[in-house]
Amino acid sequence: MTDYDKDLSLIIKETGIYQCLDCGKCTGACPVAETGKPFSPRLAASRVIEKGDSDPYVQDFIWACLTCGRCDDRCPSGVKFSNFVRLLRSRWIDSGKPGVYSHGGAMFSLMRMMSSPGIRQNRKGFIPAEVKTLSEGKVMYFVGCLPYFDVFFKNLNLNMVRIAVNSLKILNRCNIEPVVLDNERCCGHDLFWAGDQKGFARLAKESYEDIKDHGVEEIITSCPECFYSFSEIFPQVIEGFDLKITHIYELIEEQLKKETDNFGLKLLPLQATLKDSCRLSYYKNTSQALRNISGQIPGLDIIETPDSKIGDFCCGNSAWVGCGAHSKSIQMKRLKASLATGSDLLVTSCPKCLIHLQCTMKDFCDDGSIEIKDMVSLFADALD
Amino acid sequence: MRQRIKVLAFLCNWAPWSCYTGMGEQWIPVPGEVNVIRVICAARVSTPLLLKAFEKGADGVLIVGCRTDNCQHGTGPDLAERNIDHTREILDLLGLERERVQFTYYLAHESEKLSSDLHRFVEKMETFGKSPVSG
Repeated sequence: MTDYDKDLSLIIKETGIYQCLDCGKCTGACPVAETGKPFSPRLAASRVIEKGDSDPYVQDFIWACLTCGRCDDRCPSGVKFSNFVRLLRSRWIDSGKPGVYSHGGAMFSLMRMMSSPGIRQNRKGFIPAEVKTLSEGKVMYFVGCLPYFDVFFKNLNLNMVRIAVNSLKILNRCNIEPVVLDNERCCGHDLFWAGDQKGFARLAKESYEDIKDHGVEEIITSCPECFYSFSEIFPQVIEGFDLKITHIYELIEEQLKKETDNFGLKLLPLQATLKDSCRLSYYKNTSQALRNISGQIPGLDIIETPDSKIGDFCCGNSAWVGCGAHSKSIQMKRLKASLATGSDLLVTSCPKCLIHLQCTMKDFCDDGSIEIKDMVSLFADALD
Repeated sequence: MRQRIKVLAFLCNWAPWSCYTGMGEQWIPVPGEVNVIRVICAARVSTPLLLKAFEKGADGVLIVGCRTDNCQHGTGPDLAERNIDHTREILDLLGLERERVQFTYYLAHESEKLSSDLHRFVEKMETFGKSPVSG
């Protein structure tokens, strides 16, 4: 039986909602509740048990949740709250109601278009001539949505493809010539988390077949969501999934251990503060990797925000679901905390954190500005 | 049998809609491939809406607006063209022909011109064939 066939009682049972002790740690940890929205995971849980998921409070709730996973991390009873929200979204979508999407649902249109078997994308134009890539081989670099972000968020002048270019340069430096597909399809992470399970299954099938056709055995990615999607969600829908999934941080860490001259990293006399992603920290428990790598860059002074000790604070959005006053408020809070560290740089591990924080800084932040950069590009700067 | 092309035409409420009703008054037929949606202004058709049209299987999308100096809202045609340029860059990445989305404008009496342009647009889409998305 697949997720979307499950009835509500099974969802409640499987996500451990009956184990909720009503302690309220979830609300205390929740970034949405912290910005003032009447938002309580335990109340939503009891409402679903009591009245089902057609209750108006629950309906508002499931599209306001960021699925950041901070409540899952705090819950003493092991309630899988983010997954509970995801499955309720899925019931909502399956009943024919439209989801609450940001950017007019454009990202979902792109993902669904990419699941068409006949589509032949043309997305490798950003790769510079000096970078060595292959069209077939055992190791693949999965670019993700970066070329689309550059076009779609043109007004933000993001240059997101630099993450991919720098990742490829790092791979070349590690003597890896990776495969980059011209027709690489989306990893489907956001379709899955926005509740479109059928759409995700269709996309995953096409994507997996394409990747296997190119002889790939291992995928290296620099995006936390692609990493999570391939390592956790794909095996759920693809029978016999046998690709090895590596995040580029693991590769860099390994290489740093091997190389005697520490990659020949040059001095970067900068102060930086870190912003880890929810998918790496709460879902994959690998937040140490970001810190280990940044700690290896000579001259780089890391000043953490106070929140980082208890788990990183969300960037205000996930899976292109909703973006309103509370998202902006969360982003402002995160930016102000970063500015208060007095750093020159805010280093993120996720391209979406970068987009969300950059957007808010451009439009709303009167407190000053800080350069936002991804970890891979910062590492590549030290490598040059 | 060859599948019929599906064209979506967004018609601005002002001059283009007059042209369209004028076509009806003069018994000028609308090509069967064209589905018409009336919008308040050509600028209303944002990039996400254009992408949605392609996602749902449109083979071509035509935005029909007013002439720049004739816009009821001031900036409609300029914004519509900006949205189209933006969408075309995304179509490039998706590997779809960028001419699958186009902008045209009319004055209120130009019903015949609208009719011939609709036919020409459908013919152009037939040369491109069905969109790989709808396939």
